[in-house]
Amino acid sequence: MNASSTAPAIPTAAIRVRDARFGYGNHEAAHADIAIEAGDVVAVLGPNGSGKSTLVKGMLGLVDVLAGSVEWFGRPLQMADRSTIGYVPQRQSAAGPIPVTVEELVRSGRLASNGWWRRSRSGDRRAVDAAIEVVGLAGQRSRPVSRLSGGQQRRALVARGLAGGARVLILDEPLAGVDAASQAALADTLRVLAEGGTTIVIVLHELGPIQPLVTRVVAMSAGAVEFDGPVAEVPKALLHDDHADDAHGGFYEGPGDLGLFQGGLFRQ
Amino acid sequence: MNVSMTASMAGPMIGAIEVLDYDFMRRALLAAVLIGLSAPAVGIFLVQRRLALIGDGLGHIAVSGVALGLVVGHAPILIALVTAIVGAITIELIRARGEAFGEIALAMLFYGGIAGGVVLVSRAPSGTRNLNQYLFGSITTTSASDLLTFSILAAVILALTTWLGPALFAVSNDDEFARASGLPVMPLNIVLAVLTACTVVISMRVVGVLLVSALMVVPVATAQLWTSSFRTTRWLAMAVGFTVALVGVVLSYYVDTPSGGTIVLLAIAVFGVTVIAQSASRLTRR
Repeated sequence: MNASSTAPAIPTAAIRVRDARFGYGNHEAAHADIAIEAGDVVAVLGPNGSGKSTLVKGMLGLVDVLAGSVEWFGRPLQMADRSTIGYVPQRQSAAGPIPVTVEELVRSGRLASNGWWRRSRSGDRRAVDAAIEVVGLAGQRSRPVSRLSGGQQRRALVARGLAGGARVLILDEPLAGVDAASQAALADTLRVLAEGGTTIVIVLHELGPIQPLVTRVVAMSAGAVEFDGPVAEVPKALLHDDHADDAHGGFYEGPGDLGLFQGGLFRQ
Repeated sequence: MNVSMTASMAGPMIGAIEVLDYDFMRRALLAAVLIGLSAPAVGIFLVQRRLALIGDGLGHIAVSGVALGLVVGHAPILIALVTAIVGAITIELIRARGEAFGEIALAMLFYGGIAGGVVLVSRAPSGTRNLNQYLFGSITTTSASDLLTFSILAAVILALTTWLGPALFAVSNDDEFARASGLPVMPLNIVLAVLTACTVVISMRVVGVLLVSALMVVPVATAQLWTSSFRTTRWLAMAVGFTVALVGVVLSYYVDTPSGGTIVLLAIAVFGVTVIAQSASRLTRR
């Protein structure tokens, strides 16, 4: 009997951020020590400049890891199977200068797991169809993304993130600049995914329509994790104005910005 | 042999018109077709990446290569190819560092390229007159060996942009997502940069290195006015590039104008007419 079969089964976190400091060059913008368990729906909250986007980019290897480490399903970031994690970047619009259909956009999310040098096969086409279906854009698949509403564009980006077969979805401010009806539609999509077992990490200014899904809140402030726990236990102290301006180069985007964060957490 | 074979194929299609009576015109038309197809095939990715003018910069760098070739009196096109490829890789490495001085470093590279070319060519036995042919195109100078080089480069460009099209699209469309999903972004960007360098070189005889960027951008800009997908934009842009290059060369022969300028003005005219026609049809529909 060898050692590995006798060792107790240690549950492996979907994403483990071990005392990691993330930033650009020498500038540290976020510090965290957290584990995202499989099946969690984690909201990363915080005002502008609090380091919440840097934290999720650090999880993805999109910013420098200045100290500590990141693991995906127990494997170091550099050796991780990238098809397990789908990323939905913060974007006002998914459109470049040249028209791109929903199908073309979503197919580009399948490339890395399929082998970017290979022609797409029937399995890839099925995965693309399924991703478009799950976000409710089947009727729009041949339309250019630029002609869709803001909310539909976000859902198209979610589908691209899912197309590679992701078990974890990381979304950076998907509700920003999207009207209430579209926010509700996106929340519906995420609910379906969460119920299907997808782990979700979502960067938000306010919980809004996502609140019923969220199992855990990680609140960032001034580049550090200030709270990590269930929604109901988020301390009221986090709702004060002084979280708006910090030393990390955040931009105050207008009076609505803080209000959203304040009202959002406990708005029922 | 290569040339006469192609001419015999092109002949029936275009009709027995006068331009085909001359060897140099047959070669020029074939060179025009090669650049007309290749430039938009590469350009569409540059436009989507919002780097539409990078071809212009590489053209500037290629000037040094041409001038070096003229000075040593040997293979200016091949020397320009090597110079442009080295320049393209250098540009990608500078861009990947993403530092504040990156843009200024690129400006130095581009203007250093053209300044070096102008200074070098003053030492060339043939003088500065020859350089003009490469800068703005000169159809009568296309030789059979040039055509062979252009054909090989165009074949490489069309094959790679087709084979790697989906990956080049993913990287051009959303660099950050591509990195997060694990695509080899840097190698793919270098492939695109090298293909851009090859396009610059194919353009030398017909359009010229200072005007080639127009053929990478304008047919793509025209095509996207009509299309609703990336795929159809690519094919339509290549069709527009093919047509304006071919018609431009014939036109330049009959009205006795430089081929490069004629082709580019024609491409811009097609874009302008398209915009006006679409605006007019939208107004009448109201």
